Amino acid sequence: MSSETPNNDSVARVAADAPRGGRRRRILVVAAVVLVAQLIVPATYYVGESGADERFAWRMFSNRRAETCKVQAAEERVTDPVGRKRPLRLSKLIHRAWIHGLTRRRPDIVDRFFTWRCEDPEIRTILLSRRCRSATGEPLPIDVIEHRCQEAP
Amino acid sequence: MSLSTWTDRALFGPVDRARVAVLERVVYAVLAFDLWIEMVPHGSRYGAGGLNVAHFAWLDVLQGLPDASTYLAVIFASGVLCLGLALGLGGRAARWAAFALYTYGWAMSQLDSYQHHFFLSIVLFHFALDAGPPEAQRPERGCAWPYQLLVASIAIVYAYTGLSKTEEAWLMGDVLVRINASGGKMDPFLAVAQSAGLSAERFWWLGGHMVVLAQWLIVAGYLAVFLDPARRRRSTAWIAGVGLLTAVAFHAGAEYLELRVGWFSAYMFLLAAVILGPAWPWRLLRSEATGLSALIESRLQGVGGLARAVGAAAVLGASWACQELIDLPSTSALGITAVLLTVVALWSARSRDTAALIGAKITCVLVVAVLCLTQGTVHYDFYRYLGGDLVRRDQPVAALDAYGKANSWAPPGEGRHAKVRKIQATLPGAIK
Repeated sequence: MSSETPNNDSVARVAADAPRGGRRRRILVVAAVVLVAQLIVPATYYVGESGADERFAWRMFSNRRAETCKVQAAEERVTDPVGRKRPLRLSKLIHRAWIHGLTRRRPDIVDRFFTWRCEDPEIRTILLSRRCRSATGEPLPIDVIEHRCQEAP
Repeated sequence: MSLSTWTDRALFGPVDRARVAVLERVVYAVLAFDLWIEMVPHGSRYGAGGLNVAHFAWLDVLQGLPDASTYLAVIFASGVLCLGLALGLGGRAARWAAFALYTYGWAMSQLDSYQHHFFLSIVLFHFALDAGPPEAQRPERGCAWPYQLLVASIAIVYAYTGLSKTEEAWLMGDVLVRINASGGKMDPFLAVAQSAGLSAERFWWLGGHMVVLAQWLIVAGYLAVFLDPARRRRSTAWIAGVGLLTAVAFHAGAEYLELRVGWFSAYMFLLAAVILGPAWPWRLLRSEATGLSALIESRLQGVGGLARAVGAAAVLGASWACQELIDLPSTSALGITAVLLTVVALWSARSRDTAALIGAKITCVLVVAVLCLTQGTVHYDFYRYLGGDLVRRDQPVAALDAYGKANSWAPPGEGRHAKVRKIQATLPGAIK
């Protein structure tokens, strides 16, 4: 079955029921926006600062993901002497899926975790430390993130 | 060739409508099963401990803290819409609702960070764009610009995946070694390679490079179909064929390695087969399905003037049965969505004769939902995951309740009886 039409479309070989005129132009705009968005969103990973957030970058089973990490948390309360940190059992506080997010240093999860803990006025400082091994099993430098609650004295 | 000629040919060239119809129907159907069987058990973690991070900050502001009820309501409703759409019910609004609900299902929390859920939202978005006249009113080969746009989108996904694997750790095979470490699934191949004189280092290097090559061959396949939807050039069929074989081999490999990707491989097999493969199986499938639907419709016309009443009664009965048979939060979302879909479908039905068929289809959707949710391990997994999390968060009484439900739904030979005894031993006598 031939689907060609005997005008300019025969050059383009478009379907007989293809939209024309303004509707075709609108579809082209929609298609361009959709495709450009899909090109830009993953590309932001490669120009961004954080390599930990791979959610929309199509980096399934990336070398970053192949790293094995452990995370530990500690808190300093306002009643504690300055500098004295109490270890925190994360599994008692949050679901292990969130702990997994902290081990990967996913920025949104780390930020929200800090904000969430700082809702307790007793907490002055929170410390997260990650120990990771690369995909080849070599130990990576220890990664420490210290967060001071804004309200804390 | 000018840009407008090129884009016109890619987006508006003639496509076998059977490909589009089969792809949409089967993806919607598989997704309904995926939602009910694969995603429901993970609902127990939502709201646990009072922490949540949505995928988008603005969503956190709007939604508050989603819990298991919120999540399951969305998942149940999405499933009803998807299976309804797979059976030919619902128009543009149902497609957009399925896209919006499914997307909200994963976007509400970073507890769900599977990238293939994001990918499926892209697929559903393209399906929603495709809402137009009924399939029966369309030519066998015609314009399918949302389908063509989807083909390009899939090429972009594979291209980025290929790009991410050009990093040194992948190319040198280090990531493959790491993946293999957990199950040793590639050891037999390594042994064969070594017996043929290849060093282990070279084997993993070759594996890493082959994965990247596979990604680019698949990209070429999808791009060839995008640029030549009518497949006028002989090379298009060849490149698409190579892309299809590579995609099947690549995703079969992922399944063999038991990578935790849910049902992602199934979707990618399906997309590759329909988009890259020949059209005749899909024409045959569509023609058989259309014939079967017409046959059922003609049989149901015998119901006559009672069609609407019988259809409505069947849906209401099935909704009530869902509520009675399923012991999970937000079960009512199944029935409510089914009733809404029935009302919309009946309202937009062309004739009174189709009322019984609509009722039959939606009853079928609910029966399938009940079977998916009660005949496998969905309840068992949901409650044992919940129990495990409650134990970790020092809530033994609530954990006992969850494990009790898990045990009542446990498959033969399984259960959390030992955990129940362990928790009971730690509790004061009155609570046991």
